[in-house]
Amino acid sequence: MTAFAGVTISWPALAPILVLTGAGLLIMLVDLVSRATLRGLLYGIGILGAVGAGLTMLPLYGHSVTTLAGAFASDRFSWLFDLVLLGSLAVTLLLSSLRRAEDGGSPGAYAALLVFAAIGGMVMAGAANLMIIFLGLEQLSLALYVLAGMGYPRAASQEAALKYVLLGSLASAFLIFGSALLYGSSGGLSLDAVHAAASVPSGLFVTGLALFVVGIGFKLALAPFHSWVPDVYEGSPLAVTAFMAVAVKAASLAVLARVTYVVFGHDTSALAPLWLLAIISMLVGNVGAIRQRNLKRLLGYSSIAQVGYMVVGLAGVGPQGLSALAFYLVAYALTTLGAFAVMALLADGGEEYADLGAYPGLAARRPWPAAAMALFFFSLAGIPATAGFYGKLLLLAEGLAAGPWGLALDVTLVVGTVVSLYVYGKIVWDMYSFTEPEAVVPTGNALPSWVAVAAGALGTLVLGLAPQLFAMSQPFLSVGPR
Amino acid sequence: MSFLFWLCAVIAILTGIGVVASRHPVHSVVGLIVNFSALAVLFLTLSGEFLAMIQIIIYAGAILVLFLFVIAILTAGNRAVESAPSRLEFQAVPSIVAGLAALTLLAAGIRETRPAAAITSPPPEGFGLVATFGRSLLTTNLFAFEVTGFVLLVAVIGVIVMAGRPAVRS
Repeated sequence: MTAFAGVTISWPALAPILVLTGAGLLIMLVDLVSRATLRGLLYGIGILGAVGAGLTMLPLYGHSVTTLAGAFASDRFSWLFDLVLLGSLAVTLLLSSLRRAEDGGSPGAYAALLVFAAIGGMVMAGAANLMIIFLGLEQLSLALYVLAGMGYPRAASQEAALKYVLLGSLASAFLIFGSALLYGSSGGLSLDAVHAAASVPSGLFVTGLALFVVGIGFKLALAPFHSWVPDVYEGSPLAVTAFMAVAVKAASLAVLARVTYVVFGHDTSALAPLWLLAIISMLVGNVGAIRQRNLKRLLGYSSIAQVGYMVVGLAGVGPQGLSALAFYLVAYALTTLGAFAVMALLADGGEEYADLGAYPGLAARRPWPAAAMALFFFSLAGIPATAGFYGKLLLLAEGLAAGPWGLALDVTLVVGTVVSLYVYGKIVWDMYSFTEPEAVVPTGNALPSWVAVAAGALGTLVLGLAPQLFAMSQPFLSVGPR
Repeated sequence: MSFLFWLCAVIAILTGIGVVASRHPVHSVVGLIVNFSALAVLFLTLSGEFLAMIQIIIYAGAILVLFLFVIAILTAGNRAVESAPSRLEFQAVPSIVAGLAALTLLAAGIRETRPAAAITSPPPEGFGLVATFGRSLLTTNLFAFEVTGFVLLVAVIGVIVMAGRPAVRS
């Protein structure tokens, strides 16, 4: 803890970000010397950086520090989101390490951008002020705009990057405009100041909040702000899609949850439009997934629905609601990263096997990847003994405790789950029906992908069979009302 | 002061529309220069002297001149994109309707304003001066200042990656 001109800096709280920043800069330096000959080293530095940052997080567990003039909070809440972000960074680097098709021939820039994107996410997870929220989001988004176009020279990847940058910039404009109006109505940038203005909401405050939620909803891909998802998910490199599906959602959810919790406390009645967005997302995501023939698009629609589920945790805002959301987020991260890891495992050279035509009869030819994929789909659908099942139970309980809107959210969650059972069940049925495949047999067999698949499967089963390991009932946030 | 505000606000909005609507990139840049100058005057009326100077020197001056260079280099010898027929005719009407609806909602929300006391009261001593600006940049806004550096670094990496490879034709 050092003080500088009246501003205290808590170095332990900043250590994870600083370690990861060091790794990112080191990647750029090594890349300068090696000129793309040491791919493994570049990715290795990134993975080691993620592990090192994770180690510096260990002593922070259970502590709450607000540092840098109240701009950045390190607490149990940001701790968990940081863990998810670091995990998804490590898995993404693992999945791309052996695939030249991922980074379009510039592994140094690819790995560095992934690391800086994760740092942006960590800044968002701890942001306790509107300006830091925006800057963290910009760092994450700018890096991902470029990463989406890294699948050079595939035209679909270029298209994904262009669509993402145009629509993403529009969303950022909504967010910054909303932040400006919130600042105007509260007179301060910190979330505590915004909380003070929420007690007597003015037209300025409500308008600002609406624009802010639209901006975050865009990044979260809540329906009806989801139209970019299918094309961007399909066109981006496989590992980047996995990172988008997990890290971007985790960081944006952290912002949404902290803003909800700090600004509104236990009275969330002003957030009814947000519950409506969640209901639409659950329906659009699950129904939209039915007709997809491309697994990346299907997982994109699935992620829209999953975010809708997680917003249910906010309806019962408070420590219990947040821990339900946190549990579901971890379950979602494990299963989604796992599903993408199976795809990366099967992938071979430039071929991604995203087309569902490659999956019928997969179990006979590649039994273990098929079994892992089935497990992840079961968890996404919420079958008992998987992490997704227990997560949905927690969310349903939160909805029940949250009044009429909570009940509507619960009913939609159940309806959405039934539809998703059909979507995922059909693919699993296809994989285990011993028919001839329409497409070629996937032959990829990379060791790093096996590691990621095994980690995801283990986590999904452990959280599903022994959810009490993840006991987190204490209050989460260090800032705002308690 | 009120007259000056309305004059600059109207100029800023009109030139803003011009930037988007103009089919020639050089016209867009010229519109943007006028837009930034109008904003600088608005900053000046809010006692943000230093910010107004920065806006003129860095944005309207340096950055937009760079824009002009880039446009000149990129479009030299190429058939201008802006002469191609628009392929978004169908989207024009719905997007204008949606934009007007959003504008109405915004206006309805902002019409009933109750700005915070900190906003309506006169600015504190030394507000807008270089010294105050610099001190807040390195104390209360230190983290934002540092993060901005990395946001720019990410943008630079992205530009290097994308500029270093030939375009793809599908």
